[in-house]
Amino acid sequence: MKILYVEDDATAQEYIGRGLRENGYRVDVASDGDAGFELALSDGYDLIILDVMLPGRDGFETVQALRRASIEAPVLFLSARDAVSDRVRGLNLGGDDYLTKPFAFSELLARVQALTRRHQVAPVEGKLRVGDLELDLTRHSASLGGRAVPLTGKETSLLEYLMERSGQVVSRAMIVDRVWGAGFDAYSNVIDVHINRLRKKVDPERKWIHTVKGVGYVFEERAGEG
Amino acid sequence: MARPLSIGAKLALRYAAAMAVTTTVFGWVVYEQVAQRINREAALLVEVSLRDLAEAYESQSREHPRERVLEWMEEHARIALHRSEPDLGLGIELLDAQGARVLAAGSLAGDEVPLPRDLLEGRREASLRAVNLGGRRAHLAAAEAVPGGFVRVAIDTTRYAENVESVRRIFLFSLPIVVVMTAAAGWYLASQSLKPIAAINATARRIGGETLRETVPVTGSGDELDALATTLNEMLGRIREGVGRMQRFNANAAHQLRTPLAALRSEVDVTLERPRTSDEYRDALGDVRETADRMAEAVDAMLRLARTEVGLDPEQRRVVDLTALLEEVLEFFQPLADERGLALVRGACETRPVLGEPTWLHQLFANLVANAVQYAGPGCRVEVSASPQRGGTLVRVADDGPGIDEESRRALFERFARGRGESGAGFGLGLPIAREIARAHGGSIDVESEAGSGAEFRVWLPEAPAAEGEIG
Repeated sequence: MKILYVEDDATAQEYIGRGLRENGYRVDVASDGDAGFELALSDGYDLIILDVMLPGRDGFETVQALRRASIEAPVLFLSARDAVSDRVRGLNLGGDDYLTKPFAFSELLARVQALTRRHQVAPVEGKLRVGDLELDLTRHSASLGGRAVPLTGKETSLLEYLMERSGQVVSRAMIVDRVWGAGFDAYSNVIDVHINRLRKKVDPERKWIHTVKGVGYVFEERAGEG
Repeated sequence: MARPLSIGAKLALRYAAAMAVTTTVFGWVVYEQVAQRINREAALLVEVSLRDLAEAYESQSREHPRERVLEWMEEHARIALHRSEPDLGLGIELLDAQGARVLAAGSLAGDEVPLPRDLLEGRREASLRAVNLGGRRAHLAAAEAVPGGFVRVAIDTTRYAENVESVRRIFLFSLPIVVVMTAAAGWYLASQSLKPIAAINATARRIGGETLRETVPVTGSGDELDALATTLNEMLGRIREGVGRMQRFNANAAHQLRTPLAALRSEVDVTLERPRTSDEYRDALGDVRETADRMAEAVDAMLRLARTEVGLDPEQRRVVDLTALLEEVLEFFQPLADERGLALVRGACETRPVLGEPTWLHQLFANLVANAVQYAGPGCRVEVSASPQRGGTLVRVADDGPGIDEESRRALFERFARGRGESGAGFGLGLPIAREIARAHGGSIDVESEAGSGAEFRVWLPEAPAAEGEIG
């Protein structure tokens, strides 16, 4: 996986670049929008991480130029500005995700994974299936080895999100945004309680939903934890 | 460029214009009335004289032959002229059936004046009209058919015309005087009543330049300008409060960041002071991360508050179903309440649609519910209910927890307040954010609580205007 990381802050560039490399990504860095744009033209990247406030051509202008040049790699914006209008603008201009500084590196990593990997599980006839766990999206119920468990609407959305991103770490913030909306993002710690409740219903043996310390959760089959 | 007119001058000019119009109309009406009355009097006089003469002539004609009648007529005219006042300008004339003069005396004795045609031709019995008998004087003549001819009487109406004219002159002369006097009085009155404005202006200028402590003078007269002064003072009070709040906020914000920064610094300093094992380094870095997270949360909360204070972007607004929104908030916190052993229940919910930003409204009620769940404690009950009120919806978040004493209650919506104001939104900003969001939606928030008997937070939000259409 090749990532282009455009960031003008040297410390951030060094540590985040190193962090991404240590997690198995090949990373090219650029310090301004123009250099980033040139690099993006000359090489094929799987993901472009763009700081919004760059010297010269800023992140928004860069993504516009990239899309005009038919470069369709997913773009993740990093910004110290988190006004709703900035976020909306970034996504409207062709960005794929928007992360506000400061963020935990693990949060960035989770989003990078989400943008670079395809969904592991896609619904078939309104049902998601992983191993012996099946989620019926229309009837809001999960069945576990043939035993049906009714779920609430939000539990269904939560499990759906975890399942379709099987094997990927999803952060609490990602879960809140996706399942409950940005109005609850100050309370992402409450997600733990929701996950525990969901576990009791569909994963009593702790086979599927696993906590990733300091980040969030990952849905994948492992030996039961108890 | 010409200097703009002062309000006093404008008012004076308007008074004067209004007075000119009123006086002109009034004068014209009075003049018309007086003129009509005077003219009618003159006509009456000449008609009565003619009637007397005609009747006498007719009775003479019935009793005496024509020669005697003519003699009588001559005699009669002579006596009448003799008796009448000279400036009445009386004239008497007898004409034959063709309108030719038979005999004439007084003012009618000069050049012959033809009779009106319709009288001569018998289409009318009598006529009354102004005639010119030579000279500059005006006369009014009345004529009537009598057996064998016509009699005519004239009087001088110059006096009457002069009376009418003098009335006209009086009005024309007094109009400009009235207008000028009104303008002067208007200007004086206006500048008197505008005096307090100058005082308010002077104070406002001083306040703008130097201090927020002063107030605009209130005269105590209770009039509109006093109301303005009071309003300005209230506004100044709010600005003072706002500036004070901002200064406290800045100081608190700096403190909130300085404390973890200091911790961060000492964590790093102490760790670097001597060589350590990699486990020690790992632990230290873990602590650094925790501190950084705390700072990030604080900054997040402050930014969230700053954003809500700026107000609502009209483009982000849409019609929101409050009942559904409250359901979502309750559902979100339900597991947390269960875990903490308190009952989070939905009471009766009847709501009106709200024009707002769903994310913000989520935040508002999430902060209130989180606050209640956090402070009510195990075994308590938190109830969320809503009912229509005052053209909107009143949402209540009530708990039967320990309640809030009066002192904390006052500080509740202050930034960085300790205790209950501190909610999961962090750093004592949860309730201030809730209040700003309510305000941004044109609503309000308040709290009722007694120490020991629970607390009830009440949010009122106005109903979306009907034109905004269906719930989206």
